[in-house]
Parts: sequence; structure tokens; C-alpha cells
Amino acid sequence: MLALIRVGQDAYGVRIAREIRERTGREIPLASVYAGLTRLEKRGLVASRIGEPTPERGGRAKIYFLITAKGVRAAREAHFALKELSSGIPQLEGAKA
Amino acid sequence: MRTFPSSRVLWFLKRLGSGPKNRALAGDIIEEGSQRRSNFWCWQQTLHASAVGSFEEIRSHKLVAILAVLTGWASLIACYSLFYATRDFMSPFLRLSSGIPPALALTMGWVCSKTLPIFSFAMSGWLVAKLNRHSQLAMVIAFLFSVFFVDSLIVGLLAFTAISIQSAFVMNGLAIFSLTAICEWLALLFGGLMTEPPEPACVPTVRVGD
Repeated sequence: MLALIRVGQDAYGVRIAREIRERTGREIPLASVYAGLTRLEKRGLVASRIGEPTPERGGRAKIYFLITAKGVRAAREAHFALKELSSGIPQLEGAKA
Repeated sequence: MRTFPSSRVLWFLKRLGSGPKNRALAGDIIEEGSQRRSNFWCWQQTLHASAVGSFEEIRSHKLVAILAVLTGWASLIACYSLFYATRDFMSPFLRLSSGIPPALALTMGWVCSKTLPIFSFAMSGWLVAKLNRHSQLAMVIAFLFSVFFVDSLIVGLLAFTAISIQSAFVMNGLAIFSLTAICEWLALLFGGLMTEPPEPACVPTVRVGD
């Protein structure tokens, strides 16, 4: 969801997977990106629209994903909860320094 | 000149499913694969996509999956019955006609008894894929898992018997059954993948989720 917010308007499978790889150094399979986004879409946290088919993709259309207002709220709450839980833990602070 | 992704990857990607998400995922693999110029990466992503996609498809369409499994078993039983009925019907005529040497007749009989079941599995896989063209790979995998489950039970039973009675005969039977079962799974998958998936409509539809 955070990668989706970072990419913005033109977020589709390849760009989201690249964003995650560049930020975290972890290679996420494209199918896992789609599986995660489909689950978020079912919960109303993400919306999707089908783009135009292009020849470099073998005539297959892209699916663009966009975070909804409910999704932004959920991301903010999760971020806040993570910050709250991790604050004051000496092991984490030591690792930071 | 090598192309990325290779024609085999493209052939497999066509069978992922014809839903918009499956097609978009296939397009992403083609786009990223052609930039990376690595068929290994494409195969890795394609196999991962087929495993994850099939699991999701079966989970969200349980009734369709159950029907696909039942259809597969029904066609398997029908094929077996047909082949054995034909064999029983034909054998008196074969024996009476011409001078086929007994050794050759025996070999032919053995080859038929091994190849016909494999052909039955390929036919059943093909039928399951043909009847579920929009999610053919997922439904073929559901049917394959049911066959795998039944075969595992038989192998378990044979292994238990072989160990209990210390029988070399049952042990040999177990080895032959296991080898045949692997051939049958491959035949089922091959038959399932042989069906041409449907081409989607050219005009893209626009869908907004929320």
C-alpha cells in the first residue's frame, strides 16, 4: 500500500514491484503483488482501472491501481500503530544508531 | 536471434487465464522480461504466477473447481470403460485373424494396457480445460491434485502392505504403479495445456473499484 502511494497515479504491477525492490532491496514476484492488491481491492482499500493494450506487452492491457480514501486512512493508522509499538524499544534504537 | 520472453514462455502465459488481472500480469511479465533479457526470470515469474493464480482461482470459485474435478473423474472412468470394452470386443477377432506371433500379440497388449490409461488421462485433462476455458490452468491443477491425492492413498496402501508382508512382488507393483502415476500426471497436464485459450475482446472495458 505504501509503494502504491509512492508511485501515485500510474501505479501498475511492474512499477509497484520496482518501487518495492528499489526501496527495500527485496525482489517481490509480480503474482504476489497482484494477489496482495486484489485482496486490498476486495476490502475497498484500493481501486483499479484497465488501461489500453500496448504492443510491447503482447497486446495486453495494464491494470492501474489507485489507493482509495479508506486505504489512505488504513495506511495512516497502520503507520501510527507501528510507530507507537516501536518507540522506546532500546534494541531498535541501538540498531538505528 | 533470441527473443525475450521466449515463445515457450509466451505459450504458457497464454494459459494463465483470460481474466483481466491474469492478462495484465502476463503483460507485466512480458514487459519486465524483455527489459531484463532473462528467460530464467520469465519462467520463474510464470511458474509463480500459475501457482498463486490457480490457488486464488480455486479458492474464489470452489463450486466450479468441484465440478471440474467431478467432470475429470467422470471422463476418466468413461475413457477407461470405452478402451477396455473395445479391447474385450476386439480381442477374439484379433486372435482369430491372421497369424500374429503370440510374443508380438503379448507385447502389443502390454503396450496398449500402459498407453491407453495415459491417453485417458490426457483426454480427461483436455476435457477439463476445454469446459473451463476462462480458468483452464487452475481447473486442470484442481483435477491434477485430486488424482495426486487418490494415487498417494494407493501408494501409501501398497507401501504399507509391502512392508507388512515383506513382499517383493508388492514392492515391484508399487514401483510400477508410481512410475505409471507420474506418466499419468504429466499426460493430464499435457492434455490440459493443449487446449487453446479464448481470445479476449479487443475493446478494453473500464472498471473502477471504489
